[in-house]
Amino acid sequence: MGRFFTLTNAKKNFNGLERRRTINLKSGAGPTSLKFLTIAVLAVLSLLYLVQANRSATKGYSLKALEEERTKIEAQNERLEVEAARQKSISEIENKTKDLQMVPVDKVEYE
Amino acid sequence: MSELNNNDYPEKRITSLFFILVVVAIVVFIRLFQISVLENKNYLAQAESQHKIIEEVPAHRGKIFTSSYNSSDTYELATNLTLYALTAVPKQIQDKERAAEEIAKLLFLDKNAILEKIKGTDAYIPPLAHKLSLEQADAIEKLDLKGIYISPEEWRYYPEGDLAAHIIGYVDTEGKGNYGVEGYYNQELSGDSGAFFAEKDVKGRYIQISAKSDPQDGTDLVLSLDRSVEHYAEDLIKESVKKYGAKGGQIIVMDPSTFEIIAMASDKSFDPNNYAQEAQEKTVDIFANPNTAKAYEPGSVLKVMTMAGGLDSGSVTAATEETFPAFIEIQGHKIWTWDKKAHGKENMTQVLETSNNVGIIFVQQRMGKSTFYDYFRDRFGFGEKTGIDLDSESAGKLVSLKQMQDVEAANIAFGQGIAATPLQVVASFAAIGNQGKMFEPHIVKEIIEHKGDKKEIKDIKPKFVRQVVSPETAEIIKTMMEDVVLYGYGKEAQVPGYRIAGKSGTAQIPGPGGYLEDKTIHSFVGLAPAEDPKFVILVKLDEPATSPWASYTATSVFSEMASYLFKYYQIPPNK
Repeated sequence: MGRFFTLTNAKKNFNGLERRRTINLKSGAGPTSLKFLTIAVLAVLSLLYLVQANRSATKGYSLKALEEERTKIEAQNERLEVEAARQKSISEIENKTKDLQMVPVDKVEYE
Repeated sequence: MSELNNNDYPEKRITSLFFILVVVAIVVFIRLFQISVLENKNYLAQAESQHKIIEEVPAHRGKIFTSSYNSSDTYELATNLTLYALTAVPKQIQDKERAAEEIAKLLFLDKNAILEKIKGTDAYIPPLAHKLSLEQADAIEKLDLKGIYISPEEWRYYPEGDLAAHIIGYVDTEGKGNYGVEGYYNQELSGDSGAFFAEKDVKGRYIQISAKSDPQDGTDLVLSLDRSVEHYAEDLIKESVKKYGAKGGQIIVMDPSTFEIIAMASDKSFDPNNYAQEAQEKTVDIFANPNTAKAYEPGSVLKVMTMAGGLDSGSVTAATEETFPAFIEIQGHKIWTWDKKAHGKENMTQVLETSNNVGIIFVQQRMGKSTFYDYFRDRFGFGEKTGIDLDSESAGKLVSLKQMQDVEAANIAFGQGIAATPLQVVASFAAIGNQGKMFEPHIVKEIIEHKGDKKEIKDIKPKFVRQVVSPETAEIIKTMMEDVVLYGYGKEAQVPGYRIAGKSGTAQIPGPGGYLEDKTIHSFVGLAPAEDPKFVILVKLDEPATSPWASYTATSVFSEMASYLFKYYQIPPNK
């Protein structure tokens, strides 16, 4: 293995023979750079994973908080419904009709 | 030789080591196989339990509704209320003195009593308190006491209190329905729980919900019961029991065209919100519905069934006449007319009008035991459950044909020696009012199933049981019952302007060694209005003290109930 990577450009001539020509460009990335590059990529990927996992966990906490909030609101709603049902109960209505001095129908006339 | 031994020694050691390694490898392999293959599920579960939560999401119990004739609204008879329980894990509580003091202050409890409960190092003790409000639960959570927990609990709430309690029943602390509709439809009302699967952090907080199955809420039920009629009937029977010095009483109002129960009242009731306290203060017997679970000897109201059988089988006609003495002797037993007087010559309508015991035995004997039994058991259905959708129904009692002596058949003909529930009696009259067609009595008229956010409403259609008597016989017997109210011992049942068909009954009560002296059960069952019955009403009074005859007690109560129903349902008079 040479000191540097050599970049070539292959092309066929009119006789069908392959002609290989060295491009006069040389990369400056050696094995150490590659190691760094790999480590950097891995580090970025790990960071991304961590950020994603953290985001997911934070959303999980928010979700749990929202679930608790919903449960509380549902409980409040349920309590109001129960109170409405109690207010509509026939014994409550009867008490109110007495307060309003209402009396039962005595005689009904039909046409 | 010793040189050779010395040379072999390393090889032996290597061989021995090899075998030891092989054995160790086999042991390790077996253990590995055991852990990773055979006990895979167990270890997997252990690993998952460290970071995964499976939490049950309970289903809401279905609600029970009732309606009112003049309103399109439905009213809740049973609903749910989320309250909170206070639990403690004593071994986790660091400052027990403070915890007891703070809780006692907030919940107005005795500090020492709480301290006594949490002083140990138990991992579990029964909840310190139930039915805490949301505010109380929040206040306790804000204290941030280690080892003290708040958890939601769903409780059943009955907004109407003791109204129709025998029909509704109650739900116990385990969440199981008992008695009435709660007991009969417990499975449908309960629904199916859901669950969610989540990952948790070290503090047990959810990180991610991985899967969720929604709970299937219980089915809602809409009853045929009209709450206004039920309320009126309950008030009326309570007042009547007082007025006539009775020990108890019941009223049933049924629609004879559908066999739907409109009202089913008893003078005794209970508050299902406090059922445990009620059981202590009264008796467990208080929960049984006296209209469906308790049988009695109905007395003369059953003469209508005997007469219907006699007419339908062709044994007699309405015009059949006979001269009746004061008593008849069967198998050595003398059976007397109710007034111990000879009624003389009477036709079959007059037999009902004067409630003639000897006359009705004449009909039974003309039918013969077998035909008579066929009508009572196989047609009107005495001795078997009606099939109403209420828990704990009694079948009553009717002796078998083989065991039925002549004297027993004679007694059953006028409603003694047979035990029936008020519901069985009212259902047999409803069949007369419905052109002889018997349906299964029912109380639930609509079922609302929850499918996700959608609701599916199903009407309950009346279930036809059998043709009890022909439509012609039903019409004749209805006319005869009208005459009972017009000219016989049912006059008090009249409602001015309306035609009523009915029959009263004063039944003796069996006791040890025979029937009890001076103790009777009064009842009146009638159809109103007679020409096109909208209701069949049963009134029953247990041991009234003011009069020995039902024609002066239950019959008047019937009239009051019928008057109310005519006004409530706006049925104009027709005569």
